[in-house]
Amino acid sequence: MNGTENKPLVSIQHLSKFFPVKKGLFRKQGNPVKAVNDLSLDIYDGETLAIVGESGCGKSTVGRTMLRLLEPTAGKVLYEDKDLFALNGEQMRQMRQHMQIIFQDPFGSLNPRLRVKDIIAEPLVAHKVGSRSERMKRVKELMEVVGLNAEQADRYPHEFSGGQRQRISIARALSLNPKLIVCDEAVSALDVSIQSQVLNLLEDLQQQFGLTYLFISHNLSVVHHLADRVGVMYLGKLVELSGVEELYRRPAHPYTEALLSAIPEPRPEHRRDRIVLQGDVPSPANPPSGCPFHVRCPHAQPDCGQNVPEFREIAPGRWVACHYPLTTGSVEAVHIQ
Amino acid sequence: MTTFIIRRLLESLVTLLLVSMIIFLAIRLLPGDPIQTVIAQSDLSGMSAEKIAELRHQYGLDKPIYLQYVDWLGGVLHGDLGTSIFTNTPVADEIFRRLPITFTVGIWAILLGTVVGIPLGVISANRRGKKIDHLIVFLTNIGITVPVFWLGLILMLVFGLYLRWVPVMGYTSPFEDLVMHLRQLAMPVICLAIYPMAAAARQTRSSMLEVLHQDYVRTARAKGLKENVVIYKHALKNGLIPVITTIGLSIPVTVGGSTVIETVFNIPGMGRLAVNAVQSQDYAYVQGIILIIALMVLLTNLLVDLAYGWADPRIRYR
Repeated sequence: MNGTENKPLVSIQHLSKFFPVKKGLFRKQGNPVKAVNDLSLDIYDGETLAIVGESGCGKSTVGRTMLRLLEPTAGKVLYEDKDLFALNGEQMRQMRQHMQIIFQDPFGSLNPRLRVKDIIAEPLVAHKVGSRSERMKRVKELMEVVGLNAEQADRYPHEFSGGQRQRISIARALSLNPKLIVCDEAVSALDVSIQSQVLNLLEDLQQQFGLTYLFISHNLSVVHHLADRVGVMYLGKLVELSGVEELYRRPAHPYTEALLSAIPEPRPEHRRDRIVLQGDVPSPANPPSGCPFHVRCPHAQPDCGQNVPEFREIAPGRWVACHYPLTTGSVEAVHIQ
Repeated sequence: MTTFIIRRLLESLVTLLLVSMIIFLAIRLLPGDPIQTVIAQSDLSGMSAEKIAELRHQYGLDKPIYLQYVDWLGGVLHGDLGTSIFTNTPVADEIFRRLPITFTVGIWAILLGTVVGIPLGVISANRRGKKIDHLIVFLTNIGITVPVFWLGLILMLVFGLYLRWVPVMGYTSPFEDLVMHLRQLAMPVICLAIYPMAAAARQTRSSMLEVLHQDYVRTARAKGLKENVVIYKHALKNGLIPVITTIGLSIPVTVGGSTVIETVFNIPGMGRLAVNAVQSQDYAYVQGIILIIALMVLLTNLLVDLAYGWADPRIRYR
């Protein structure tokens, strides 16, 4: 689903994750929150695919459900043609060697009771990799790789700064030599100066180990710097998927256009006109009919509220879910005002 | 750490001093006169006023209250908790003879409460909203509110009189007959364990529900750890601090409950001694027993504080 010839490393097919809502005195089932709603995309070996969108759009849920840290409501995730959702607990546990996750909060994602060496070595212990001395050697190697002093391996997480903790998380994620790493807002909680260091580290590691990243973020500047392709999510659905340069130069979906217009741009000649969307994001428990974005879309037409737009390829590698895309490949679409 | 322990022990001494003052005054404010009680119990109703005054003098009850306190405190510092005006025996001897019995029942109760309560809380949190969770929550609510004496009587009726599985009452030393000792302790221990068990289960459930949503628990799953390792190593150990506090707080409740349980099950422990001493206004015994209980509670609190450091390496003692 990106116009690339090679086979995808991960293929997400019609993934849905709904959260039940119980309300009232007798805890009756209300409308479920449709955090992810019929989402499909492919992730290719060695690439960085970013997923962007506002808070609550379901991007983190995609990453977590894909790794089965949350159980899906529907759909499939194929990792090298193996359906992850068809695996039993033990098989899935074994599969975790190939895919890891780095969470947003460097303070919350490390067990405060464990020493750093144990945090990094624990996956190796769980998967019975190497002897004790080999594991300790690997821990020291990994700490050096992520730019930490191996002599600090006996310390606890609270003795490190936020940036250092995120490096520990990266070392832990790398310990089993995974192919895929989900970076769930991995730099959002860090200071800007530290963010750039961690992003550079992630890029270096990708080169060094041939990693594939699913990079979940709401920071479009960071995504521009790191990603090869970008998927834009709105209300649990993918509304646009494209190569990073095409998407930033010429967004095809009005929502993407609005997001890009909000990026601060220091050079006046490069500034876009700011598009301020009207109203609030609708509830994912009760999304609007037709196109989920039509109630806020500055380009909405009468039929947008009736028909759900198909997620279709408008040019090689460019996918959009819009009845009236802003661009069709290289040609600007004309809008009826 | 050493500085912390020394400081806490010094604070405990001050607390003990205050407790001793309060109990010394409180028991003397109770209506009635211990000397008159001795006379009534010993059929010495014809005793002359001189003899009564002599008896008062013998036990130092004719001195001003502050001097009585100073004399008693001086004795305590030398390991003498005073002499009973009823049995004319040293209080310390009787207390230390009965203390191991109360201790045995109490420790078994706390252990049982903890060993059963914590896993119940874990199961409940793991199955949140399921039938087993509702059942455990319901049972823990009952466990916290059920009166110990009533539960004791019900257990006696069912397991002692109807089913005849265990003896109804009494106490046998484990060195005399271990099987009989365990059979006799079964019901009192279960009675005393109900509160710590329910409290531990409730607090564990609450802590676990908080911890299970932490990213480091998700990270543990993502690492490919087995579920029981995720639950017990990553979740439970990080949710232990409030549970440790709850267990610590349930120890004084257990000590309080032992007075009722020892009376109901006719166990010759410190609890029953305390009840008898209060009823007969035996000042020396009441003061001695409460001082020992206060000491136990203070030491328990110190152990709880030290356990926090084991449970969470971020805690530093200053």
